[in-house]
Amino acid sequence: MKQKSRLFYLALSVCMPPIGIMLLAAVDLVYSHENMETLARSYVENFTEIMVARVERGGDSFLRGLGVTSGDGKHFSGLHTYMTLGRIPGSVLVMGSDGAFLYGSSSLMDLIETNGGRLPVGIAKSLYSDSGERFTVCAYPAFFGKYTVVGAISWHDVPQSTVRFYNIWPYLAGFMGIWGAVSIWKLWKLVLKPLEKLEQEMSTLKWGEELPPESGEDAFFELRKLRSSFTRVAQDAVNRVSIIKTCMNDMVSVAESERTKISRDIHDGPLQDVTALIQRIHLAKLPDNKPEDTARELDLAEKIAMATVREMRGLCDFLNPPWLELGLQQALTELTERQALQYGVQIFLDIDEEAEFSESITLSFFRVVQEAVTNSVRHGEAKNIWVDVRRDEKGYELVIQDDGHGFDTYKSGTAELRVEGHRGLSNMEERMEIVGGRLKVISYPGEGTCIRGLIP
Amino acid sequence: MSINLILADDHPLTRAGLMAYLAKEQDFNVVGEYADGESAWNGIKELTPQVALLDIRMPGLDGVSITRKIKEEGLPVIPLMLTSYDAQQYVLSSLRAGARGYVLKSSTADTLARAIRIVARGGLYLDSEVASTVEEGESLTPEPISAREREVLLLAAKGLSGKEIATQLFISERTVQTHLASIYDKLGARNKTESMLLALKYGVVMLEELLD
Repeated sequence: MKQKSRLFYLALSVCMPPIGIMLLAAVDLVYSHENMETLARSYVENFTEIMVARVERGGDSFLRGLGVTSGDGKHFSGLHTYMTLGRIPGSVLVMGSDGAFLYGSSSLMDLIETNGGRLPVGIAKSLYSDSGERFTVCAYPAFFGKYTVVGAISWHDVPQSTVRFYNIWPYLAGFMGIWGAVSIWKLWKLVLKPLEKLEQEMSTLKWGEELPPESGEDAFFELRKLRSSFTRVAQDAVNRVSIIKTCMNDMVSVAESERTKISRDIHDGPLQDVTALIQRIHLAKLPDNKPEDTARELDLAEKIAMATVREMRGLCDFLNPPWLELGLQQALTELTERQALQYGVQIFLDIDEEAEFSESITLSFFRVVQEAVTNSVRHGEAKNIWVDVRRDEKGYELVIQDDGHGFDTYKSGTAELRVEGHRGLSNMEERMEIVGGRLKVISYPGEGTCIRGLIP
Repeated sequence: MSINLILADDHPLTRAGLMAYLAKEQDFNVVGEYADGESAWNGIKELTPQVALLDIRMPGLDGVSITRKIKEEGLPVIPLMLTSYDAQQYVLSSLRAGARGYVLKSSTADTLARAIRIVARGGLYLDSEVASTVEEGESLTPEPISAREREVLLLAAKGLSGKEIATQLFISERTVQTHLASIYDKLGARNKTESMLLALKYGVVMLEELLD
């Protein structure tokens, strides 16, 4: 509502000056029109009287002979001389008592005929020609009614005619009024309305969920730019929210799949071991056992129990390796030695002894090596694995090369593998991305696999 | 008369323990020992033992799938499931697939032997943690359940929800819940699956009723 009343005042303030000027001009126009009328009338009346005098005083053969009604213009030689030499504004017409044309301007004759042939005798009158030109016309009798002398002046020729464009002034005023109204309407349609709409949309938009609707209406370029910027910002918000959502989903599903994995590890490892332990104890307790049977079962039970402890310790180490605190060199040495022992493979570790690695890089590299070695053994059935860690001007580099089966990286990208539930590769990728690095996997079937991580 | 058996268990230590159990019984004849589902299935097809001891969870083919295959192929082999813990959901699905019972891997040699003999005779053996609440439960007969409760229990065992049972029996969902609560109470069960197993154990419902 507030915007609307402001708009009204704006329109009013834009309109007021031209309207005022228009009104003043109109009053002036009417006033000067009246003046013109009076001026033209008195001029024509005087003019015609002079012409009558010229006709009556002529002094030529026609006037002396009285009654010679030849149409020859020379007979009105006094008048003729006056009209030809005087160059005074106005035109004259002499008619016979029967209304026949005797002398003068034939166009004046036409004007009279156009206006019904009636003559404004004695008092001047305004007449309009076919072409819309305005004349003030006056007729006087001469020679006691023998002739009628008609005088006329076009308003174009009225002396002192300051209002030369008197006839287009009203149109000008109307045009300016319409122009002003159209301008205000345009201002409202192209600026104020789009602006108001945009403001509404911005204040009611659900950021991060919605995009503003496409605006089909036209607005000024700057406003369209403002709208597209607004759309871009809203799009950004939507993208950011969807990234956060994906991220949260990933985090939750990673946590879930980790739980599932740990649960499975416990089920397949310690739980089976303890079950086997219980079985051995059952066997040791059998009533018909010989002493050596019992001793053998207990011996086996002890071995199984020790294996269980080893396995559980391994699980603990896997979940939270205690040697991570000792730095990457120590941690990787420990890890590769354990994995080599566990899987029965050879792991050659070559690590830059001088280099310093931050805690986050240590953790990332450690997890990538852990995952990569497990994959090499489990999926690639590798026998030898080479792990190189270097620090140079390019950044921190980790290369893990094996002599396993390898796989087709084109056929099975991380995305497909991930869908199939194999998170190994994407886990490694994420580990690297967290510390601002990249992971590259180079592998061909039958040619081993090379995993290269680089942190600039 | 001796009983021909195969044993399928992917964990070497428990498999060795079970083998030691089976070796104690003179009339048990273990004809095959397998560490994964695929080779166990091949062994079953080839040897058609009287009883197949199958670990429910195995890499490749699991015990439930093998049971289903046995039933589909119509082999005269009685599947008996082995589990390392009381996973009732697996148990029920293996029973639906055609298993004649299940034994915990941690049970005694005697229990295993008894279970094998019962299923070999055509019986149903259900060992579980539920049995521990009624340890000497063989003699204990539960309070009889009504015909309506029996109907509700059977439908619930087939995996229908409370709403679906209500629609099928033209009763309200609330009544279904009341029936179920009464069933749990009478059988001493804590949930649907357990009440189902206990009902089977006590002979309140027959396994065949569950299957159709």
